[in-house]
Amino acid sequence: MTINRKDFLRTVGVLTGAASISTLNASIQHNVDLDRLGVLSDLTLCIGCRKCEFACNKSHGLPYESIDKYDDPSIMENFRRPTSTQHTVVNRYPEKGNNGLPLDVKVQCMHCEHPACASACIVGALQKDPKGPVTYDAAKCIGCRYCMVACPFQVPQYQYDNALTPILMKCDLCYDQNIKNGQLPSCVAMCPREVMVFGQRKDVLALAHERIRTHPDRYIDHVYGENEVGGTSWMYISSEPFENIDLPTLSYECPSHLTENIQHGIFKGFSGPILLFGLLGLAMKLYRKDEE
Amino acid sequence: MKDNRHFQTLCIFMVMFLFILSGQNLQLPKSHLEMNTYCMSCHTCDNPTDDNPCLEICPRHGGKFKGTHTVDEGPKIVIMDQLSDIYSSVVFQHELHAGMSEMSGGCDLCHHFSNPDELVPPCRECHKIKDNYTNIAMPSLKAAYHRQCLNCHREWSHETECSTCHLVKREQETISIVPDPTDIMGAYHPRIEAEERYVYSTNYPNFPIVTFHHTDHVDLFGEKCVDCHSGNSCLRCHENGGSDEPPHIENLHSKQTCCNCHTQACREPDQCIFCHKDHEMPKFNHTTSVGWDLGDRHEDVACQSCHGPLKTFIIPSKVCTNCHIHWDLDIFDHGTTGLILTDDHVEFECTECHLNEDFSAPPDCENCHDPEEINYPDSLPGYKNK
Repeated sequence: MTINRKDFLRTVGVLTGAASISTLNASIQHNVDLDRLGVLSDLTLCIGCRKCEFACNKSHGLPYESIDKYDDPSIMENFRRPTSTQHTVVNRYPEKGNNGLPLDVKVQCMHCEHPACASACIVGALQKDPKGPVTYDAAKCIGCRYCMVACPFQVPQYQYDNALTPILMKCDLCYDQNIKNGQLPSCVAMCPREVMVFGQRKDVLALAHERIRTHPDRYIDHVYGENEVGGTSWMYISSEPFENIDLPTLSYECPSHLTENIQHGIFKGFSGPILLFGLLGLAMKLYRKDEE
Repeated sequence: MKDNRHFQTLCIFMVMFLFILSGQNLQLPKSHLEMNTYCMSCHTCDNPTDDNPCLEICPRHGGKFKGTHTVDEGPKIVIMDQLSDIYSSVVFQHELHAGMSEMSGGCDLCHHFSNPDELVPPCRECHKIKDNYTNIAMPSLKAAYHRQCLNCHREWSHETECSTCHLVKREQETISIVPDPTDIMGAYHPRIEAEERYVYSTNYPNFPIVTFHHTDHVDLFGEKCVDCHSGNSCLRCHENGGSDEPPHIENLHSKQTCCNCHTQACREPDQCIFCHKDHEMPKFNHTTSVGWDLGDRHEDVACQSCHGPLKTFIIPSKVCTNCHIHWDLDIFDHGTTGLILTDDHVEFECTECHLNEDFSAPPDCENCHDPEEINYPDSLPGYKNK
């Protein structure tokens, strides 16, 4: 029996492919609690006062201005994303709201149920806490910034201006500082109109559907984040289709599903390495036989 | 025998299945089955029963009343101070808003849950100050206020600035946090622009001209708006929708308004010329009007500090120690007058130079010095420190 290099590689490729496809159907197991937390943001109530930005920066020790400076709406003329000094920003969409009023959209980390950032993180610095928030441990972070590429909402920001000890910046739902002490996240507590409702995810989700049901004229029939990317902890209801207010139309499948299945499938029970070295052993045996 | 046992098992399963099915139907009334309802929107307890449905007192749907109350029944001003934290308390002009809402929906434009037969409850009766989220469907008091106010303010005037209703609490707040309910607005009303002075011609013989310095009365003498503009409601000024027209105030430009404070001048016949002159009077100036120069040191002192309350106006003596009662040689630093004395002059009693304790007169040097050689102010007993 003769085997050349091309044939060998082809055989290995086919076998590896078959092994991985057979594992694709395995579902991802995430360790989340049933009473995990969530936030519902009702965009029809937001007036763009930006007090959430003030509260967030103040409570996280980030630079902030005096509170009356936040009344100035001119900064909202340009589209903004969270930055390394702002975990949350409010964007204004003129005349998109009810009665020709502007629609204001607060953006921050969505705290996905199956976060792509945590999946991409090779050192486990980003984790999905069983209670809901996606948390970040700067001590583990090696600064690869894969999370920034992975995030479907482009939320994580890196301290590029910090030369020596840069870390990743993103909303942590005030988990350590507020929630663990039985307090609300700072932005939720500050909001004058209670645009955001904080509670168990199932409860705020029920409330979202209740509002849509009782005011079908006010809302479009879609809770953004209920199913997007496999569900998020932060959800929106709005009077305007979400694609018009820069909330991307996303698959209901979580983006890390495919990659995680392949990776986890291959390495399940150390099957990948065993297969590889088994094949190599087989090839060696075949070559030896030929030589004999 | 075997078939019989199978039949029995089947029966038991059927009964159990029906039981579960009927049990599910009993859990929710039929009307609730189609709802994707959040229970706490209507019920206050976790497990409502037919006997004890524990329904919210004010259900959002239905139970609205059509305005049977009049504007006068409600309070004139509501001071919302239950939540003041970063901002000072808000003074809500209820009467003004009630008057406006009469045109567009009546009381239940805001009081959406009121029982038609009873008194209208205040917002805080249902909407509680929330520290934790027991009922996420019910807005807290803060949210209820802001949703209610801003729904209209945003739509009508496009105003969402916090400063429309709030003042930021400063660390060194000079204004009292509690509004003075005796003033015209009961609140920190934005300054109303007025003329600096008003000149009236009267029919008083020989001295027909009365000059009223509005700015002096407000800024210098510290009169409150309500001292003259008394008995006016918000609507008296704002009935034109906040136009630029001057406030409509009856009987303001009458003698009586002035006599409320100038009691003595109004009572005694020879005092009429206190106000009535034959020419326009210039702005009040302490030096020219009284003959005593306030100088730099006394310029910022409030009138009341020396003259007492305005209504019982007293004229103090010009002797420094009349007010500066703690001044004596041991602790008085002459440097505060702008002149630091030389060591040999510091030792003297005040009266050795300031004869008869008249400190406004030039000091007398003749006691010790030859007036030909040394006299004030060519020679000084020290040096100026400014």
